[in-house]
Amino acid sequence: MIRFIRNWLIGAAIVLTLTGAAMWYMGKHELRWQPPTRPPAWEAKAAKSGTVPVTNAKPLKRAQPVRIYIPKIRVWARIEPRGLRRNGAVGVPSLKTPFLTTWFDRGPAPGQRGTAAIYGHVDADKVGPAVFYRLGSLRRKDLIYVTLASSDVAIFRVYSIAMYAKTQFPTATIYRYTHWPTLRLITCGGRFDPATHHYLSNVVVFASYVGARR
Amino acid sequence: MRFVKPVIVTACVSTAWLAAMVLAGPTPSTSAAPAKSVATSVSAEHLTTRVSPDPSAPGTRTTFDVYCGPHAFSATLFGVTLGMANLILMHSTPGGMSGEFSLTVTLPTSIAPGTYHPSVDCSNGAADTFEFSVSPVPQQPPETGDGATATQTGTPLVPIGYGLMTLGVLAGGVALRRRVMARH
Repeated sequence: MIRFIRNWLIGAAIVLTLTGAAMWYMGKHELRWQPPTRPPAWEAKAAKSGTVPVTNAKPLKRAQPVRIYIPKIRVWARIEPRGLRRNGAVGVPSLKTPFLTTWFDRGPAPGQRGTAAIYGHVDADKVGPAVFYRLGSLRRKDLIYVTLASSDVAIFRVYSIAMYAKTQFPTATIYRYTHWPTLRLITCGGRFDPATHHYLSNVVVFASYVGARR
Repeated sequence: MRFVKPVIVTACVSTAWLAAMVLAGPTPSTSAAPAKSVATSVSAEHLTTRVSPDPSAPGTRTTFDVYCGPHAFSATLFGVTLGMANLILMHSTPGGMSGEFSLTVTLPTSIAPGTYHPSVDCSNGAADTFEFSVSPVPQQPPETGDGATATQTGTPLVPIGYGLMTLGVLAGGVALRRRVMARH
């Protein structure tokens, strides 16, 4: 009986140690999260051409956006206004609030004529994937709902999605004035440079206003 | 001679006014909050001006429309205020009324955000000042992420692995101890 217990213990020790070592190795070398999705190159065509889809909906008056809802990637987030920093970069949410988005309040509001821009983090320490982690998964015709302080919900339809290297960030393409209300959703993406602790690209979603509801 | 004198006086006044406008140069103010969609005339009674879009932005194609009133056959925009050519001839609005002129320009990408007051001068003597705003545009790409999903494992497998290995070592220790005790 004692021999049986001893053999059983030896067997258990071997199995536990080997299993533990295998799990430790996998945990150390396998990523739990996939890197953020990269949009396919063909989705950037419409952004390059500069053609904006237009409908006969009535553009909205300026009102501060307060919430954004993107069903396709399960985003339901608060929006806060931000201006520009001294270096000319737009203010973005703190990494301590990775599920918050910000709106560039010096430009048009969503639903107004022109290009409104909303920013969100792709990932953040301790939480992993952040609010715009799946932004690269959006495709043409996906819908985006932006709730305004006026209680209107401006509805946008994605018409292009592109990834741009930060060293060649096309400011004019992204922020140029459009005579129809358009929306840009912007986050980081592409390869991460551990030396600088920055992503090397930005993912930009181009969406066009299709109407509003209360 | 009676007719020549007023003409000379008018020419002198016009020249002085033109020189003053040119020397005035860019006058952006610090307030650039986007507000109204149509800029209105501020000085001439019969002159109507419009800027679209307002506010505009650096590098944006911006249209200036002016109605000078009847009997005007040309209009000139003073572009130096906007960092462009000094005198820019406006075009007759296609299909518009007589005296309607329009000009579409791309604002320089270097233009500073603020409120601008470019002037327009009509051939019938009417003159006016537009007022419109230039909003700032972010010049740097945003930094939105710290690479957590690219660099961190964030997985519970590591501590679980450590736990199992510890249990294995303990079980092995107990087995060896029993073996030693059994010998004695």
